[in-house]
Amino acid sequence: MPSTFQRQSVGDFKYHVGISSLTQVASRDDRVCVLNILGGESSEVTPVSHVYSGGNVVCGTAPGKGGSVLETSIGNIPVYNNVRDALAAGHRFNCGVVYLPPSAARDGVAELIRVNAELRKIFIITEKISVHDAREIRAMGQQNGIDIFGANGLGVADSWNQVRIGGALGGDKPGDSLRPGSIAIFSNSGGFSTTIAQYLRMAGWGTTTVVSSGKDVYIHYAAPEFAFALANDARSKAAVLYCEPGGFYENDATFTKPVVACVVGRWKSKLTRAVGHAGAMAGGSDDAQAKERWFMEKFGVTELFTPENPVVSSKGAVVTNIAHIPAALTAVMRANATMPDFPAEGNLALKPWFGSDEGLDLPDELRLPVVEALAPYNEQVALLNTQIGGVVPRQTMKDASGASQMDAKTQVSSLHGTTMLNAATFALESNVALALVHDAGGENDRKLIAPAIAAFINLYGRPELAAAQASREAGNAPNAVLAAAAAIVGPKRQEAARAALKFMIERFHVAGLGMEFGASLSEDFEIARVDVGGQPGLTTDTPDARAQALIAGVEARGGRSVFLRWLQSLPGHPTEAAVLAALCATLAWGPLSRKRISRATAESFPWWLQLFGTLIGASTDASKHEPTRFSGIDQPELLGKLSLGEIAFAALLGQIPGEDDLFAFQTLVGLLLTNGPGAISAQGAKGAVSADGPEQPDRVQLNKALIGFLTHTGYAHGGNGY
Amino acid sequence: MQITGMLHGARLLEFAGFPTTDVLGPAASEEEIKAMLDKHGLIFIKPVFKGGIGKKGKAGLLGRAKDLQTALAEKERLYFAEHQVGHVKAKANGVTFEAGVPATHEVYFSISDSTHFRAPTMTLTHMGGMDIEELDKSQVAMVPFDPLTGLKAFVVANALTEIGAPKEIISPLVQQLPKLWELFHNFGMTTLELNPIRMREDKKGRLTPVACDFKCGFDRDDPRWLRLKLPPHLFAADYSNFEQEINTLRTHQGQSDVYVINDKGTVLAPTFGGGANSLVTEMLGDAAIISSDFGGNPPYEKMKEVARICFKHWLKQANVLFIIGGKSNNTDIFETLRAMADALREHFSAHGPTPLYVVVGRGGPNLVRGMGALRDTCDALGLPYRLFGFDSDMSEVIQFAKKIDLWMRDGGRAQVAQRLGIEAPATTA
Repeated sequence: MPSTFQRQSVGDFKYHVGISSLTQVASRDDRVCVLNILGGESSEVTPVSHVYSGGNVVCGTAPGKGGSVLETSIGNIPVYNNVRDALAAGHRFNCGVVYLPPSAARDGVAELIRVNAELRKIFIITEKISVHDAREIRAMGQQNGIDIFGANGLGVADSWNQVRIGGALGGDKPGDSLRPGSIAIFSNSGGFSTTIAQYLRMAGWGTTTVVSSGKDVYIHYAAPEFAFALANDARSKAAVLYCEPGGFYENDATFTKPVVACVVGRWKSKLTRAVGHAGAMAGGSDDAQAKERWFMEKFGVTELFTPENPVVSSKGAVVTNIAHIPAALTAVMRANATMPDFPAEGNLALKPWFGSDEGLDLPDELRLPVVEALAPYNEQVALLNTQIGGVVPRQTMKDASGASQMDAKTQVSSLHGTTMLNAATFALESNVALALVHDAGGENDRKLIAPAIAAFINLYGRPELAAAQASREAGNAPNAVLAAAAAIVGPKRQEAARAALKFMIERFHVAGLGMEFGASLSEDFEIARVDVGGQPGLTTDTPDARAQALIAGVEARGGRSVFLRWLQSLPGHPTEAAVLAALCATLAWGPLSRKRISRATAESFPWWLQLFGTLIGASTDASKHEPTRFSGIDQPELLGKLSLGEIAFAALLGQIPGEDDLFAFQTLVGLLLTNGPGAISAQGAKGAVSADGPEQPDRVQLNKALIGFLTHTGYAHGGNGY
Repeated sequence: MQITGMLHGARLLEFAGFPTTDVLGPAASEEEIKAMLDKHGLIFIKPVFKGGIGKKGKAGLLGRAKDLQTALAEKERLYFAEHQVGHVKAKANGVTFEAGVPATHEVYFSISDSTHFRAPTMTLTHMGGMDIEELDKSQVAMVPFDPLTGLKAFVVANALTEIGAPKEIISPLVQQLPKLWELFHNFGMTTLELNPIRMREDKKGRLTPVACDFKCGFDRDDPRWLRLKLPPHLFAADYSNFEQEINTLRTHQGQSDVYVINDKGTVLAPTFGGGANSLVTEMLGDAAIISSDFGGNPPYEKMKEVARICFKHWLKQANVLFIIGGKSNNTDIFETLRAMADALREHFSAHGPTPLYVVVGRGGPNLVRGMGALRDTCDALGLPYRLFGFDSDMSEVIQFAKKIDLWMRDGGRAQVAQRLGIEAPATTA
């Protein structure tokens, strides 16, 4: 085994150091063998390093997988069972990278050293290596004159040589962070090595060599030897060090060039256990404040550098916030009559890529406007933003939608976050909205829901009325009567409205209708922006009476809708389906654009409204349905004046209610909105729908769901058959 | 993970074959104590603390007795003694009775890994029994040695000669001290300290080093200490319930390092990367609930489980959910953000909504997809948020999160609660 006196030791260190200049850390001549090259992390990271470096990985090992390869865009890297086999196959290398798990890392180091006489450097990426093994790794390296980097590090990179060895410094695009310049970086944190390189670029400073040292108890290539190599590297004019508490390394370093030292970790003096960085630990004479003092002494400054108090000397500055590094460096270098390497590339100001205030009253300084992300992220964000409506995560089939919940302590149920006690105070229209678009909505919503449902209550001449009546006369329970009516109102009845609604949503989204509150009834929105081409069925040549009656009802109530406004601006006469679609679009737009509901939920809205109207109508005897009247109420009054609560009351009890009666009625309905999760009635609905295989949304039959619900409620349970 | 005192120390030293004084534990009967007094004349009574804590002698926490009555009185005084050194507080649970060893020489010995020498280092002086920091440097030997060959007899001998130790103690120490290296290195220790070792004289005047106190620390990442079969409760006090739950998920595939900073804090900050952890914890101060590092590319299931546990313990009191890290090198941002988003959704589903503002600062593979998943979840749940990429300075993002927290404390939380339809006004911190 070769011994130390065959390998030159540099400097006057008490231990072996082989590297005399930073140019030797990651050079174009280095050839690399990666241990455990096919492991999860290495298989992602090694190809990137290999390509960036122009192909410096000559081979790798993976026990039992000899003969396979690691693919890269510039050619495959051969894999062997062990290092000896790799050498026997003719490969030669001077660097080893260790990606082995913690218990195997030490033996990997031993193998590299024993088997390959040409080995000069080892880079250990593995974290959580035991101190026991770290001691032995250090001793083996020292005895054989090997420079070791790490452990728990991210390797090294050199911007001038365009070489990266070891780990993922600079992420999957090292070139984005590593621009040649005059600053060397030494960092205890792997992630921050890249971050600091980026921050420096923003301020106009490029890099020479970047070293990620790790922060274990044993740091094998530490600040003293880095300082030495820095002194001997003509390319580097200065360095940035990022240090954490623990270890006397930095105290022993002698700097001959300007340095900005960032020391982070004062809070760690309070800990009794390490978090994240094994060596960065609790209060001793090598804690964060001690390190700050060491550096301040070396640089001849008496205070830390902050933008408000920019204390520097020509030897350096000390910061405790990485954001201050660029300014500190520029100030130090100015004191050395040196300008930045290139013009500033940008800034690090806050730039949110996504944001939402949810209508809250936040102070201006917290309402940061969303900005366009830098390329290529901006394209990805734009693509993401074309999606409207929420996406429900895949869940295993359970009664677990979360729509209905019950408070364990009070036994009070809630629907979409509204308790039944609150729902009992709402108008019937609001509870319809709560159930269907998850939001009770406001006054305008009520003005749209009432006529929309009312339009389908009078069933004169329709088969569903005949079906309900026949069922009633045969002595069926009330819910069976309703079910009979519901069974008729199938998919074809709402096809046109659904298609129109889908169309409207898409076109208005493209035209830029916003998601702020009130957007869907806005008077200002330019309806001309909405492209109308290619959708049949929105208008007809001859007036549609039902459509006109519905519009009249909405206008009589003072309801507003940008969709209806647009529809009326089109040539021809609106169809009933289109009007219904426009009202539904108005109601669904807010929850849809705020991602509370999915597209499928929004598009089902017309069908639900038809069904509710049908059920209210079918709940009363056929004799109450007359050509122009329902339960003695004229159609225009039904559509344009009465509230839904009043109409429903009249249907059930034969007269328009007074204030107290209406109150009692709506309270009752509100209280019964949900019995909590897992109720038998809900199971009935679910069973009916799942029988058709709801993975294909067009197979879902909402009226069937209602029938399932109705048939599973009766005299004994389920709201006592109401 | 530390042990102080001879209750367990004596057993470990016996394991290594190093002579110790006689020791009785808290369950010792009066007969046993009496027998020890009869045999040795003088006994010490010391409180048993969990973990490592020093300077007990100076704090008057050392009892001595020459008769049974005094011994029992000291037992009572010290059984539940409380002690504080710096930030570390401890309460005793029990006492040991240790035989006094008459001696003219007291030796201090310790082994630890020195970052000056980058090697295991022995510290040794014949002026033991006192504060080592107060001694003159010429009287203390600090000697690094090679871990592959171990602490050899000649290393000990040379050291003692150099500091001018009395000749009669050299040979006995040279014979016994090297055994301690085996204990230290092969059983996962990072520090080992015996102070004092007293040189006991036998009838023929020969000296034997006898350990009269013991302190050691173990490496959490080294399973070797498990071979010692120490009772698990010794280290359980180090962790809170929350930390223990997270620790069950500890594998080398992604860290799950976590520490409770302030259990009354209001910013819940799952952090990624050791460097980010340092900066975030420093800047948040007491506003932070936990200090954490969940980096290292954890898979979806593990990340979701970690998030679930964090939310279970802390989401209710949190004003801000602050997901923060640098530009990740290999952690998949889509996997991790999606896992946290799904855990958040499930938490709301199971426990109902809680007022929260979400802030994210992150970079790495699949970044935009990950942000999209989180954004969709926040929209669906009605939560306000700002998501920052890696082109925003991390410390500015942290400041933003702090300002949001302040706004929440100042009435913002009630506003958010109202928007979410939560009835009872939520408590502010």
